[in-house]
Amino acid sequence: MQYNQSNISANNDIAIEVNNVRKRYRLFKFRNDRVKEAISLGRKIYHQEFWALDGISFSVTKGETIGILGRNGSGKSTLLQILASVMTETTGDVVVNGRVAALLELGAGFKPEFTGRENVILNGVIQGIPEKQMIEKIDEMREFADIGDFFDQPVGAYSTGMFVRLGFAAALSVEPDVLIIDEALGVGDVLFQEKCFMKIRELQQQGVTIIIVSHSGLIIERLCKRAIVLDKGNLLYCGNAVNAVDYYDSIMFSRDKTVVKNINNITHQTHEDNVNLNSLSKDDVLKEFLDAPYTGDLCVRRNSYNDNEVRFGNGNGEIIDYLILTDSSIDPKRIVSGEKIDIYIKFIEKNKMEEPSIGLGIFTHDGIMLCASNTSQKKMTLKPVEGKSIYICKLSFNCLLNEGNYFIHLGLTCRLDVNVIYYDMRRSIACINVEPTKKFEGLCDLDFKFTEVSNCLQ
Amino acid sequence: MLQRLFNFIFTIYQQRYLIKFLTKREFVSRYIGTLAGVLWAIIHPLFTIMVFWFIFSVGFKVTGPSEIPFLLYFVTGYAPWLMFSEVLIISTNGARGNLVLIKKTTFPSEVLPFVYMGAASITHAIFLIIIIMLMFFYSVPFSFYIVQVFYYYIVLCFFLIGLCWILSAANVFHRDVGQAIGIIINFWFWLTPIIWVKEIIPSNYQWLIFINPMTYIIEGYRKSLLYQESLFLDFPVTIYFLSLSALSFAMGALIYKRLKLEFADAI
Repeated sequence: MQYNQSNISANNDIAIEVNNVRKRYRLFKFRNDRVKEAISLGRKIYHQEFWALDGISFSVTKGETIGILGRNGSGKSTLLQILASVMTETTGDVVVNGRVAALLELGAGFKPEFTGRENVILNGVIQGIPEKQMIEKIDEMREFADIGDFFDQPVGAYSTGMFVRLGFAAALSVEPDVLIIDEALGVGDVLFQEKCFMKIRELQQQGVTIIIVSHSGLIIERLCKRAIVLDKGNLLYCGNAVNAVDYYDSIMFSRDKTVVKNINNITHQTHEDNVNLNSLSKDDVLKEFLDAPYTGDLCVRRNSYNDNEVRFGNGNGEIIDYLILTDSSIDPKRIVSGEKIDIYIKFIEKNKMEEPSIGLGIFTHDGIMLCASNTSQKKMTLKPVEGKSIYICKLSFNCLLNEGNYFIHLGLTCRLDVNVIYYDMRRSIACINVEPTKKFEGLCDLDFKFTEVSNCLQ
Repeated sequence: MLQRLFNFIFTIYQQRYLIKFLTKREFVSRYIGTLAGVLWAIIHPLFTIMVFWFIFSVGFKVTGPSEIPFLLYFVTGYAPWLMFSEVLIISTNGARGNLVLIKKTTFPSEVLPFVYMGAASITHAIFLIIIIMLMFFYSVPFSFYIVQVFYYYIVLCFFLIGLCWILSAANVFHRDVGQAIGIIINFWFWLTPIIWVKEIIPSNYQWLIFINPMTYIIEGYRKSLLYQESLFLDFPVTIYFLSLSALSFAMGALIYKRLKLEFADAI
């Protein structure tokens, strides 16, 4: 994997150069094993290897702000620790030009019995700034932290919010050439966050190279032009921040190992599929969906398919395909709020099913059920297509959802009795992303009608 | 190897402001939040000496060699020993105790033994001042040999630093080191002629106690303060001590420099 930006001209423009860096952790089952292995002088191996970083290469030009995205355990923190030279890489080279200030943890090393003022100075001195210079700047820091008289109180007496503010003030007081920020921007209240953003903008203008790690795509998109995506110690994407965030979202919702390994190819394919589909008309796609003979599970090829779905059921029937059509798109992953959506669901009878009922539910990413219903609730009886064992059902609704990621559950059940028989439940089979709309706030649009009272009276 | 050693020493030299600042903080943090504050730094040694005065002068009534009050004999040995044992024990737990700084910030942890040594030196200086006052009290004559104390203090530090680096790095990987050091120090105390007089060892075996490098320091303090002897008299022991210190310093520096890279992994 070569993601090096080869078009960087002169070498002295580079702030950070990471070349094929790998980091191995040795995992010991028992504490004593580390000693045993050391004593055996390599004759016996007690550890298991774990590669937290597996060949990462990228470079950052001076004054650039780069984002790092990745799930928990993807190697972000290890990478940052190596860049901050807190940790050493196992193989590969890292070159960092200039003074590095690392915000790996806000307020790391603050001594609770010392006051905020003393801790800020201490932090600066540890980072290599003479005490005098820190004392000159302390008022500026006090103003930035904005915690009033608590600045001269022991840090142990601080609330979490105050601690965070002080930590940020301390980190920014260092005036680094390279600033490394790990998850630090998500804390603090909105006003303080805004202040931090302003400060980062200021640093950007001063030509400070900044590396930001965040789980929030919004923050990355706001502050960085370029971002990299890490997963399981591999660098999966390096490029435009907006694309990187999209990319990150796509792997966030697909946790299958093999999929992640080949995700480059897969996104490539889906991209091509999209092109193909776009060249086809809606009717063609629908016809293809309706006429396709049963060849197994076709859901997996849908753009919105989530391979982290939870599937169970007795297998008497199987949901074999679905198709989402909107006013503007065919089989989309992203939907614009307010569009009319048609969802076609196709299922097959494998063994005898009694009164099959197909249902659909829409859930937010944190599991709130927005709406769910099924054909038996709507007093519908489904009939197979032309006497065969395949059933097709269409469902339409207006997408009145707010921006965000939503999961779709599909279920094929029998609800004749109080006890539901599950033929095929496919929870979170699809994940769709609804694009932002500015028309309302909240989860969904209840279509408020505003009328001026003077008009009502008329 | 020499190149690496000099680089390491140079990076420490670059951190001198940090050492100064951390020393101040380390010293203050011991007494922060107490009513008496820094006064404790004087109260502690003062009371320690008063307790020993009570034991040796009122209780046991022992006399030191050549008519020197035993209290003075003891305290002149005890002061450098206290400095030695305190710095060694605190430094051994130094790297581990500053885990957060090491893991989360770019912190040059190799300065820590210097910091602890600096803080302990303040207590040591107070101790020495009390000893000098005691010498007035017992009307022990003064001589210019007293400046030799500085020499012995500096070589003690030189010897200590290397040991501290080795132990502090080892303790990061094996906590047993931190546990064991207390016991070792305790043994070492009794092996060193601090509370006993070296004349009790038969003269054929005198060399045995000089294998112990701390004997050199402690006898050195006594020479400068009490016996008024020149440090050049025992030239072979001086050479032995200095080469031992140089060895421990170089080894300590190289070992620390190497193991430091793995600190964040191990803890």
